[in-house]
Amino acid sequence: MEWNLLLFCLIGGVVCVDTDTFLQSMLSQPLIACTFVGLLFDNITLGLTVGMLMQLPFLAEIPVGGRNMSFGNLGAYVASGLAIFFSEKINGSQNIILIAAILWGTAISYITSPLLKYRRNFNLVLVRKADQAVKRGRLSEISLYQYCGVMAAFIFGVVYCWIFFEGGERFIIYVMYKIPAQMENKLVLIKPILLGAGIGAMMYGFINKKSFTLAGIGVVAGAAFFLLKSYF
Amino acid sequence: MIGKLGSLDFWRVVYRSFFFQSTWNYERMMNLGYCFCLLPFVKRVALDEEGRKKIVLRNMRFFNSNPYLSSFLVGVSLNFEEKNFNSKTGVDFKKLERLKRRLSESLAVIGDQLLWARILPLTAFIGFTVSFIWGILGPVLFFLIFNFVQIYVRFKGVVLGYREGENAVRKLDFKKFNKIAEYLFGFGAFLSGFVFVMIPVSQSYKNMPELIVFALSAVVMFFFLRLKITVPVSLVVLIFAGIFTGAIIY
Repeated sequence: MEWNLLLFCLIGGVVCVDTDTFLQSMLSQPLIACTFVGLLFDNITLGLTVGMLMQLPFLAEIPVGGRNMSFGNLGAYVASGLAIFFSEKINGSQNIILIAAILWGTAISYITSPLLKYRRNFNLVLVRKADQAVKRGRLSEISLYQYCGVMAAFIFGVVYCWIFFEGGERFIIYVMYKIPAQMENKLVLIKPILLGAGIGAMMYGFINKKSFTLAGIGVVAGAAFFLLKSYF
Repeated sequence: MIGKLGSLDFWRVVYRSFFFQSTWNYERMMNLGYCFCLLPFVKRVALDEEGRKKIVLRNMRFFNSNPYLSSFLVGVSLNFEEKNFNSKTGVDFKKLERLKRRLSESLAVIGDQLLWARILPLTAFIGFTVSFIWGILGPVLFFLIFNFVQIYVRFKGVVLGYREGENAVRKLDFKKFNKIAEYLFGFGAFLSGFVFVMIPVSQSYKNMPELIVFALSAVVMFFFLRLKITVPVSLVVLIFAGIFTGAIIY
């Protein structure tokens, strides 16, 4: 399918809703959302790559209670969209595009964290309206306000997506203008760095003094598996 | 009483439990989501409008817990409301309030530990690992495993809470939850080690810089997170370090 900003932003709304408002089915996680963007706009390899690079690092932050944390989901989603959009138009600068898109996506994850406060304050307005409705005996209005909360998250998601995509477009054009094309070959370290960062985040989540031995067994098992695989 | 809740009713609660955080706010957190779950059953346990209003107001108070395990408390509330409707003397709702407060805290801890800190990273990690070998199958597997677990937990929670009522707390085996969390933690550590070897091999990092940069960024990220540096900041630092290293080496 050809690039369609409206469709991209509408799916961005769904990503925002799934992140913390309704379902939480993990459709919004980078690995799934970015692959879906790739599938939709005929570049599944790039979509999956961005998803894989951005999935693991953000798992280090746990959305406990009302904690304001960085939301990698929307950032990764916009990053995958930008990477696919620019790789369609420009040939031969894949690493520059990838770095610029991921940097922009990471910035979004940082910016959207304090913005969450506004949505939660808007939810409080809905709760107050629900209180008044109950006092008047209109119990069914609770459902209405509940659906309004989902709708608000969707609209916020669409608007964020649109703003961040437009901003990202300018950012990548600026980066490509500033970084000479000869740098392309010097940026090959981006993938090992992000993959390493992802593994580091997983190690942070799963390795302590108790489980250190199990991680060591995993390393030995991995080495043995690939040695045997190459042998046979 | 119109009749005991059946499996269709439980599925209705499960469906509505997906909305738990739709109106999450800083004042009463998930209160409206909790009330929304009970709403279809209010008509069954209160025949007059005043009675219905009382039930709703009772459940509009502060509520916060883990969204996946909260359906358990909805089940307990339904049990109390049904008992209240059936008994002539009524039910002590202060008991329910105490139970709700105690259980919501415990379930929040268990849910965050089990679902957010163990099952989500682990299923994502499995999906990530599978993606290396079979591409698109990785995200599909991640989605299926996680949702199987979350729907099972939501359904089982409401059934158990409704059947056991005030005895529900005795039915929750906290030691078992801790044991599961421990096993998942161990498996996550094993997988971390396995993937640490798998990535350089499957990506065929033939030259030394790529291998060293990969291993170094894993270690640096680990220590950044231990130092409580946020993920975006850590990533930006690592990306710029990679750009400079690449510019010097190549």
